[in-house]
Amino acid sequence: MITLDKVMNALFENDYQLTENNSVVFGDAHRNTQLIHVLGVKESTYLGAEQAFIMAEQLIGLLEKKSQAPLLLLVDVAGQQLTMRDEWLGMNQYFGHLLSCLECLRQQGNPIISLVYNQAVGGGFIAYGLMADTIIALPEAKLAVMWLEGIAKVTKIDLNTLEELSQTIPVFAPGVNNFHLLGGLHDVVELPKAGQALDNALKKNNKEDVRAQLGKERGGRTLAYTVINQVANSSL
Amino acid sequence: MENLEFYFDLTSPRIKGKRIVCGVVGSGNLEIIVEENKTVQTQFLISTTVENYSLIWSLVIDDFVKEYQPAGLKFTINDNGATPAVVSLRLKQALEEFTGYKKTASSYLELDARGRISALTDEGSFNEWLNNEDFYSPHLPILKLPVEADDGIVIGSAQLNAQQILIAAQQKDFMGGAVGEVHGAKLTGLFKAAVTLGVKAVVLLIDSGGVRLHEANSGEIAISETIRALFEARNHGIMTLGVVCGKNGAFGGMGIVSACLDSIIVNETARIGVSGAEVIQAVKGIEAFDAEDRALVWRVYGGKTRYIQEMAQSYVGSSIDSIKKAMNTAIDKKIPLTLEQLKTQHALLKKRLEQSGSCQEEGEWLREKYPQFAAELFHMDEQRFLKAADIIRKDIP
Repeated sequence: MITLDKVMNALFENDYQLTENNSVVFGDAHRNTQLIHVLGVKESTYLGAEQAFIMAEQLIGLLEKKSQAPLLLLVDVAGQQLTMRDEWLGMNQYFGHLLSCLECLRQQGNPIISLVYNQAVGGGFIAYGLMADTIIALPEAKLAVMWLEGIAKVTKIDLNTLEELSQTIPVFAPGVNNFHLLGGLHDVVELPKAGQALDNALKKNNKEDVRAQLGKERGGRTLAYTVINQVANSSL
Repeated sequence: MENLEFYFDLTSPRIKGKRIVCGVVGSGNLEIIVEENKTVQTQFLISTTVENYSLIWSLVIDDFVKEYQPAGLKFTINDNGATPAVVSLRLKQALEEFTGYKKTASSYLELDARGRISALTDEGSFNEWLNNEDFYSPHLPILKLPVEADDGIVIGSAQLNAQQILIAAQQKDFMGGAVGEVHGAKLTGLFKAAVTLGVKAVVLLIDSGGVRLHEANSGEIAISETIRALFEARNHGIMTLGVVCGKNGAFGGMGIVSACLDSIIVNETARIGVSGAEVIQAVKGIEAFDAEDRALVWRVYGGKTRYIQEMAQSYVGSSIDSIKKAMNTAIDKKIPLTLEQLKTQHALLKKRLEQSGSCQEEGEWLREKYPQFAAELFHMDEQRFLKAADIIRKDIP
């Protein structure tokens, strides 16, 4: 498992300062004199109501400061917190709040980039990592909605069948390549090239959601783009 | 899966009408699409999950054709193990609907997606989109599972109190309303269309367990695309409203989507969350969550809890009229996505965390904070509950 320090060093050498609270990390970094705000979680955290709240607080701070600098989201999330308490607290609303904060930051003009450096699983990934303008993953990252054993259990489909199908179909099985084929990742790069990928993403400053188009171009998600466009162009 | 075809040469006059879809591909159920056939024959195209029953199918369909003489029509049937009696009934209903008969609304809980939309919007105003073409899930047949022409979500334009809206309703009985590639793309497209058309509001009748695991990755990305398009619509001044009054509630990705809307309407039946009780129990054990304890499940996720917490803005009864009334009021209460609004929301969520102590569910919390309501609140009728909730909500910033 790759550590956060190693990732930060590869991107910013020593020019960064991170604070940690409840496995949430945040702070500022510089890359070629460019200020970059950093926000994320470490060590395969299960994202809960509390973590999402801490992250939202950081983003509100950036909005109040009217900072124009880009935001790098660091993703190492093992899923959503699986407790009765988090559910009762309304974890979904804390996630929605975090997403609203990211949207306001986008509206303010700050570029938002995600780097999945270890895990990105389920609701915890939807809650912030997937909300970026550009989403990058390291090749060894582990992306999943649910692991295959869990999918087999819930869908009552034999695990062997799922494993066999997952060799040829990207649509349900975990994996960086699957998410890339489906357009859910803009780019997959080795850590030494992650900095360059970050620079490129900032230069491109991609504000449109092009994931469905990428999914179609890469042949992994063939219908979504067509359906979205057909519906979007419907008349009353 | 097995595909069957039957053809009939009928001499009676051809029946005219607009394409309709009747029924839902739930377990033990089927959908029937009726449209005018281009050729002279009457045609039945059947796709069924239960193999080796062609003789029974042929008998049921022969009977139907003899009795109703459906000349000039094409019937497309997507079956998920319906009994012959159910098939006969559904064929009759489908033909009645095709010839213009409309069933009147009863309870929201029992209505299917199309029934819900037509019951909640101005009479005759609903115009279903993608009505004349099928976008079946390309992924379910690979897993030998039945498909539905609308992929579990009905979308289109309608009017609410003479105001132009777009609306989507999830089919509770098809894959538990879960979001697959096509399903999610329809939601995303709907919010994009709202911007182009400049409608007053987008209304989601949510009834879903979240991402459809059979197409998990596509479903998850689709949820994220929907959220982006939803925010885009809100930024363009479009009101976005969720109604969570169905049996599946709003879970997983749909629970998160519901929290991105301007406003949510719930009733007592509603449940909203990320992971359901069964999932928590399966992973963490029965000590962590006894999913069979229904009262506990509703104290954690239920409509009353969500209204007291101000996750939901309206609490209604279960009648169609009370939901409709709440929709009419809610669509005038647009909430802008601004820093000010974020700070208000942040204060609400902060107070909830601070007040929560070590509580795990609403009953425990009420015993600590509002002991006068703790014993009764989850048994109160609508009027008494709303009075109690008013007192509790006044204490929240």
